[in-house]
Amino acid sequence: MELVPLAKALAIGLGAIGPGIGLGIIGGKAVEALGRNPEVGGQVRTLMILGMAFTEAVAIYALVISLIIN
Amino acid sequence: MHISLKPEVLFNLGPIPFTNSLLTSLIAALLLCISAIVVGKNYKRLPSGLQHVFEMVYEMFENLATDALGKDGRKFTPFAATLFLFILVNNWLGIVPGVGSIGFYHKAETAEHAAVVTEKIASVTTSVNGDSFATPAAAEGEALVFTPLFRGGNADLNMTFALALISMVVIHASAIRSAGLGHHLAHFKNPLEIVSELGKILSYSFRLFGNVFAGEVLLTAMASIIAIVTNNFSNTLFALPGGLVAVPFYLFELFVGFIQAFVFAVLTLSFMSVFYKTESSHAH
Repeated sequence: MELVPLAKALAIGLGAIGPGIGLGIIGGKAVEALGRNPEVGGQVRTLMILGMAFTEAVAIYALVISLIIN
Repeated sequence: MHISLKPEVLFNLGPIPFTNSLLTSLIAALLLCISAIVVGKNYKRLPSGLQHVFEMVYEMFENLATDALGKDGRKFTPFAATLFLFILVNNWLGIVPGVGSIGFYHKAETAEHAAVVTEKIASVTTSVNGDSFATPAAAEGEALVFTPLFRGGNADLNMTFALALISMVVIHASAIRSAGLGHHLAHFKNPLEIVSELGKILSYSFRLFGNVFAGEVLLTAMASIIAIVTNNFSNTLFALPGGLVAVPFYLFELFVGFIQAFVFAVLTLSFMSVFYKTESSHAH
């Protein structure tokens, strides 16, 4: 049985679970904060994008790993 | 689908290999230089056209930098805006149709080298041509190798790693200049801090590389999805619907290219603010 495709799929599939949950939390909390305090929209947006960049980086590591498995 | 993680070498400049991603990033730099000269020459009090764009970017980063670093932020605005513009132009040049599909065929130097390289043929050609690896019939059985002339500058880890190193050097140099060497080194009593600084370089470079490279893979996959699903790589009629499927993803990649350039520049500013000693923090 060929295990390499499975390894690739598992690397990105499992690696995307955590960042997916994290991105959902960040986006949800940012919207919540905006709803409570609309006048700090600009700051919340910048912080949200920064937080998302950090979280997304984890998924990107998994992606890089899945691309270099061969 | 074969995807090459490494950029292809076009020719060697002495000991330095000249790669296709280097060519694209040089074009990006050239475009920026020309537009900056054009804007500077035709400077008007009431901005119009391209001058608007440059002023908008500059103003955006002036606000971000002064938020992060106080009034010293103005000194670092040009650096952050340059990073942003360079990465943005590189990301957007990378998704211009033709990047990755325009190239040339050449004879492989050695037999085993040919085997390696044909495996790494940029799969973008498959999506554009609609059939897999339309290699022209090689004379006397020699394998012809396809080398794309352009490759997105940030789809090359060397480039993003260099950008990460530049921004980390600027971060630490500015911190040392503002707080003094001894004060700056006091941050690193705990060896874990040094590890986290090294981790920043890696996460910087992998984030940008991963996003841009994954974007290219996504576009390729979407453009050739009909051929992949039906497992029919020889039907050229699939090229048009395949291209249409990819259109929303091109829009998405425009967005991702912008966000990643923004994130890179803003992260530089906010990491700088961790170590940078502003006038107000001198007081206490």
